[in-house]
Amino acid sequence: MQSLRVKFILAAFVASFFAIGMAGLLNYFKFKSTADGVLLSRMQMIGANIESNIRYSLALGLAFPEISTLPELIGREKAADALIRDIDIFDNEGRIAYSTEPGRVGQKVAEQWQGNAIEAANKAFWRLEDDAYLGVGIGLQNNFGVTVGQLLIRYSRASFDREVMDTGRHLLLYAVCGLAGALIVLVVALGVVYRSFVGDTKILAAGDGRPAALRQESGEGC
Amino acid sequence: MDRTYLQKLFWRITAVVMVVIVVALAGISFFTQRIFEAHLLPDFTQKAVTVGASARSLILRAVDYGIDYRQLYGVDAAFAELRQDNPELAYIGLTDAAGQVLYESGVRAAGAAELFWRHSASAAYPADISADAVRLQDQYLVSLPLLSGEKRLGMIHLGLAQAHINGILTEGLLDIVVVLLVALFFTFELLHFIAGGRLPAQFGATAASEEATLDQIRAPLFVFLLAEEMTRSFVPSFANHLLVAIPGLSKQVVIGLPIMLFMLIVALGQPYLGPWSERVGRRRAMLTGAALTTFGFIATALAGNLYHLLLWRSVCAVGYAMVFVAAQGHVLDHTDKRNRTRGFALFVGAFMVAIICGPPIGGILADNIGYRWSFAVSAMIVAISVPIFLRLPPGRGGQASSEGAMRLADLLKLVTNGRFMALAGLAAVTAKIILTAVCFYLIPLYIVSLGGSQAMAGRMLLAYAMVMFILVPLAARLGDMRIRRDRLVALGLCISGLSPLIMLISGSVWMVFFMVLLLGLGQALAIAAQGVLVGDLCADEIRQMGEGAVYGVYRLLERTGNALGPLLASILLSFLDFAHTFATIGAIVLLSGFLFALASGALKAAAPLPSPVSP
Repeated sequence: MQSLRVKFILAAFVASFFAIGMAGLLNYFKFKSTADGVLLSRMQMIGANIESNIRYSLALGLAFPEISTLPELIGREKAADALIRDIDIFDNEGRIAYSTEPGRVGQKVAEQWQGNAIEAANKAFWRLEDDAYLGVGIGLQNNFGVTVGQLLIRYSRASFDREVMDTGRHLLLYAVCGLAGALIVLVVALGVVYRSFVGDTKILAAGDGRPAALRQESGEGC
Repeated sequence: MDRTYLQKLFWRITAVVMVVIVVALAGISFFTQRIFEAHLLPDFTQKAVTVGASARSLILRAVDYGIDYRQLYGVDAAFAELRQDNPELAYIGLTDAAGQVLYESGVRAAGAAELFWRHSASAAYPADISADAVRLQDQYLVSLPLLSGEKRLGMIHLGLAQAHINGILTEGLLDIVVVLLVALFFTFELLHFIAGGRLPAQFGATAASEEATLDQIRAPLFVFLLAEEMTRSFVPSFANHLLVAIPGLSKQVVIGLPIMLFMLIVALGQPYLGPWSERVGRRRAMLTGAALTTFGFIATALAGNLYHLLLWRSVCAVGYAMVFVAAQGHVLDHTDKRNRTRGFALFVGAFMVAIICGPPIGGILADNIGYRWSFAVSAMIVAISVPIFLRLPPGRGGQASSEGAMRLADLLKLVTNGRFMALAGLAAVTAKIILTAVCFYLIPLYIVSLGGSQAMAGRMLLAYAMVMFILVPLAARLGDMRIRRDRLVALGLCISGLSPLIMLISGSVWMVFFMVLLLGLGQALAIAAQGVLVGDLCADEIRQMGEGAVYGVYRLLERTGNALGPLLASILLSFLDFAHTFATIGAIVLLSGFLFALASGALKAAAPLPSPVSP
C-alpha cells in the first residue's frame, strides 16, 4: 500500500512539474518577446526619423547619394543612443552610401542583409540577428513608391541578452521554489486523502465476508 | 471496490493537485510581476526618452523657425497620435520655463503639477536627457529639458502607465489557464496509468487480469496521440512557411496537402494494417508504428521544403495508422460483448483527452519555440510512449483471421446499399468533412490571418474538444432514451452545418469561438448516435458479411471524409474569402443534414446495440 501512496505523490509531482514548468517557460518567453519588442520599437522610431528625413530630401529632388545632411543626422542619432552600434544606408545594389563608420562607405553589405531586405519587400521593416548585434532595417522609398535603398540600424545585443538571462534565472528560481513548496504541501494533502482511502479499504475488507487470510493477502498486495 | 469509487478517488487527488498548483502559480506570478517591473521599466523608460527626444526635436525645429513656443499649433493632436502609437504612454505634456502646462494629452497623474514646478525651479536644470523615471501614483514620469541655445523653454514630460507594465504578465494569463486545464487532464491520465489497472485486481475483482491488460493501453495510446494532436494547430502555417509553387494547384490547395495526405493514408491504411497487426502481434505493431512516427517527426522538424514535409508527414501517417489500428485490435482482443463498450470508451477517452491537451500546448510551443522545435518535442513524446507500449502483453500473432475482415466485394456491395450509404455518405462523411475542413485547415489559417497566434488557434481546438468531451456522453444517453437516433444524427448535422454560417455575421475571434462551440454541439449529437445506427440499420448486412466487414467499410468511408475536408476547404478558399468558405462548407453540411432527415423516414431504429463511437 505504501508504494501506491508514493506513486500518487509521484503522479502529483509530475503534473505539478509540467504545470509550473510550462508556466515558467511561458513567462520567460513573454518577458523576452516584450523586452525585444520595446527595444525594437525604440530603434524603429529612430529609423523612422531618419527615413522621413530621407523621404523629404528625395521629394525635394535630391538624388539618393546627394543628401548632404544625412551623415550629420545619422551621427547625431547614433550619439544620442548608447545602444546603437552602427547606422548604415545602402542602395539596391548593396553598396553603402552613408554610414556612421566613414570607412564603410562604398563597400558592399553582407548578402544576408540584402536577402532579408528583399524577403521583407512589402513589410514595414526587416530584422537581422548576429552573435554580437541585432538589427532593424527599413526600406527607403521615393515619392513614386520605388525602393531606392535600405536603412539598417545595428544595436548591441549584450545588454538585452544579459537582461533576459538575469530574468530567466529569477524565473527558474521562482519555479523551483514553487515546485518545492507544492511538493511539500502535496505530500501532506495527499497523505490525508490516502488515509481516508486506506480507511475505506479496511471497512471493505472487514465487511466482505472473505476469510481473514485472503483479506490479509489483498492488504499486503497494496 | 468498484470503478466509480476509483474514479472518485482519482478526481479527489486531481482536485488536490489542482488547488496546490493554482496556489503555487499565484505565488510565482506575484514575484514574477515584481521582476518584470524591475527589468522592463528601464526598457520602457529608455523608449519614452526616445519618443520624447523625437517630439522635442520637432518642437525645437518649429521654435528655430521663429514660431512662439507658447503658440505652437497641433501639439495636443501630435501628442495624442504619439500615445496611440505607443500605448504604454498614459500622458505626454509640455511645460514652460515656470512649470506651467502648455500642451498635453492623456491623464495627468496626481502630484504631477508640483513635480513640473520643482523641475523648472531647480537650479540644476538637466542639461541633457534624464532617463530616471519618477513614480507618481500609477505612472512613471520621465522629463526631458527643452533648450533653445542657452535659453530654457520648458520641459517635455512623458508618463508611463504602470498598469501597462503590469498588464504584460496578465496577457499571458489565458495561456496559463490553458496549461492548468491540460494539467488537470494530464494528472487524471497519470493516475490512471500509475494505479488504474492494479487497484481492482488487488481487491479481488473478477476478470481482473483482462481488465488490467485492457487498461494498460490507455496511457501509451494517450501519449502517442498527444504528440500528433499537438501539431494540429500549426501544420497549415508550417506548410505555408515551406510553400513551393506546384503547377496546376493553388496556394491554398498546396497548404492543405499535408493534412489531406495524412488523413488519406490513415484511412486507406486501416483495412490492411488491421490484419497485419493481428499477424505480427498488436504490441509489435504499436512499437513499429511509434518508432516510425518518431522518425517521421524528427524528419519533419528538419524538412527543407513542402515536398519534404509531404514525405515525412506520410511516414507519420503510416505510423499513426499502425498504432491506431493495433490499439483498436488490442481492445477487441481483450473484450467481449459484455465489456466491449467500456473497452472502446477507454479508447475514445484517450483520444478525447489527447485532443483536449494537444492542440493548445502545440500552439503555445509553436509560438514560443518555433514549428521545428515543436515537431521535435512531438518526436520526444512519441519516443516516451515506446517504453510504455513495451509494458503491454505481446498479443497474439500468427495467422490473421479472415472472419470479419473487409474485402473489396464487401465494399462494393455496401456502397450500392441505399440505407448504408444514406448514413455513411450523408452523415458520417459530411461530419468528418466539416470537422477537418473547419478545425484542422481553416481555423489555424484564419486565426493567423487575423493577426492571432498559433496558441489562439490551439485554444479554439481546445474549446471544440471540451464541448465534445462534455457532450458526447450526454448525447449518447439521449440516444439510449428512446429518442430516435436518426433524428439525433440529422439534428446534429444541421447544427454543425449552421455553425460556420455565423461567420457571415462577423469575422471576429469571438465569432470563431462561438462557431466551434456550436460545431462541437452538433458533432456530439451526430457522432454519438452514428456508430450505433450502423448496427441498427445494417443488421442484415452484418449477419451476412460480419460486423468487422460492415464497420470496416463504414470507418473507411468516414475517414475518407477526413481527407476530403481540407481538399474541399482549400479549393473553396482559392476562389472565396474565409467567411464565404466557412459558409459554403456549412451550407453543404446543412443540406446533407436535411437530406439525411428526409432519407431517415425510411430508416427504422432498432433496439440499442453497444457499438464503438468513432473518434
